[in-house]
Amino acid sequence: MMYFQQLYRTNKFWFLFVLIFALCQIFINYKQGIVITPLYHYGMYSKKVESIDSIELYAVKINGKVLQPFQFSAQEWDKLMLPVHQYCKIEKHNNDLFSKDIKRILNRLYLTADTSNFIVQKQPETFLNWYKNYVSTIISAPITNLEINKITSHLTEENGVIKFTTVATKSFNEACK
Amino acid sequence: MQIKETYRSNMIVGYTIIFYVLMVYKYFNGMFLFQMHPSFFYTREDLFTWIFMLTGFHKWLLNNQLGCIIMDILFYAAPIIFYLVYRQLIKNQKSNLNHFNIISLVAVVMLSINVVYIQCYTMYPTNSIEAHIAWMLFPIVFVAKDINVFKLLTDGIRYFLLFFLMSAGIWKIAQGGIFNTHQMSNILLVQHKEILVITPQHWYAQFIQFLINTPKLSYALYLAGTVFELSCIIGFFTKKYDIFIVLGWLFFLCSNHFIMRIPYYEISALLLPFIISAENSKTD
Repeated sequence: MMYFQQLYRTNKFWFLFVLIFALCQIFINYKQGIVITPLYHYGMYSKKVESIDSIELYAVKINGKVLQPFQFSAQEWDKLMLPVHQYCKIEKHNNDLFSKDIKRILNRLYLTADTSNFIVQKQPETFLNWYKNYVSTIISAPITNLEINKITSHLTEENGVIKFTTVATKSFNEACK
Repeated sequence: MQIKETYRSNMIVGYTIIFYVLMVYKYFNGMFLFQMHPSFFYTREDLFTWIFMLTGFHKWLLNNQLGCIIMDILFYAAPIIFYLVYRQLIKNQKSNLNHFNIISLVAVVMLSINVVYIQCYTMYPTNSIEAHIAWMLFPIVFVAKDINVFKLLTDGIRYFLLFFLMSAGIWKIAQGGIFNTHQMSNILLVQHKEILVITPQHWYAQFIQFLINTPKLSYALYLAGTVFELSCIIGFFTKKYDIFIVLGWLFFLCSNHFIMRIPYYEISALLLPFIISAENSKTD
């Protein structure tokens, strides 16, 4: 409160600016829905994460060898894996968001949304060609063979220790249908 | 207390140093836009982003190496240009209002570049936009001409970081994460699935396995993080414990990197108002 009083006495414009920012930040947190840059939620793993009995992951095989996380820094590993994770769900994610919220809210603001700026058509073959060059620059080596597989691994607990058993493997094209 | 211009100068220097240290870190990890070769975008739930997307600029950068290089140059050159303009003008005549108008104008340009760059960058598979908040807030503070307003706005950033941390703690209560004793074990399992399945024999995989298999210990880590976040409320009432908040936050950032493999250092510039005090910025 003291802070706002000081700001009010020093400069009315900045007082109003900071006050609106603070109120909007609280409102955005209270609403828990869509955010507006630069006002975000900072949940940081606050949602309850339920126990699972199986996990799905992608294994990237380059020239016959599976890429291993510890060959790369954390940033580089994210750089390798994020595109694979995001690409498969991109069409559904972007298109659902567009039809569910974006179109409706922008229309309410009298803005016409050009679908091409929001919607992405998934093309796994094009992605794989791009990804081959992309990985090649990261590992600084030519790639003759690229294979991405989606692995489903079953979790079992033996004497309090979790074990992983691969129960299904799908090719990227199959997994990305 | 009369605030000296040195305070602003120290803040700008601090911001510039953190920005360029992170720039080097990102360059060597291939995180510049031109090193990312973006080929698709992932829409987030952000009204500002949707309005920005109407311009189609995010699409123009896809598979456009030259465009990405230009954006990298603009983004990474802005702080040093701002610093040099500030230093040059402040050296010549401290109280000239026109000089501060120029400094404000350069800050507005830097803010615009940062917003556009970060909007695009985080739409590609790179990093979360929340981590980049410091690069959007500090340029706003640099727009202020009057040193007293500048000081109050940096105090505002201090409150913002306190809110950031405290809200993270409150979210954990509101969304129930804190009441789940297997929360951290389950998070680690999802976060490190490739490590656990592809390289189960690696010492780090064994360490993570140990944490997953010891839910009491991993939950204690989660709980400690939440207690730290919630205890930041003290910062709203006194600056006496700022040093503990800084140390706690730095420890949190390092632990996040080590245990979660999430480098969240981009946010570290928000610590500047905790480190640089107006009282110690005496020499003009």
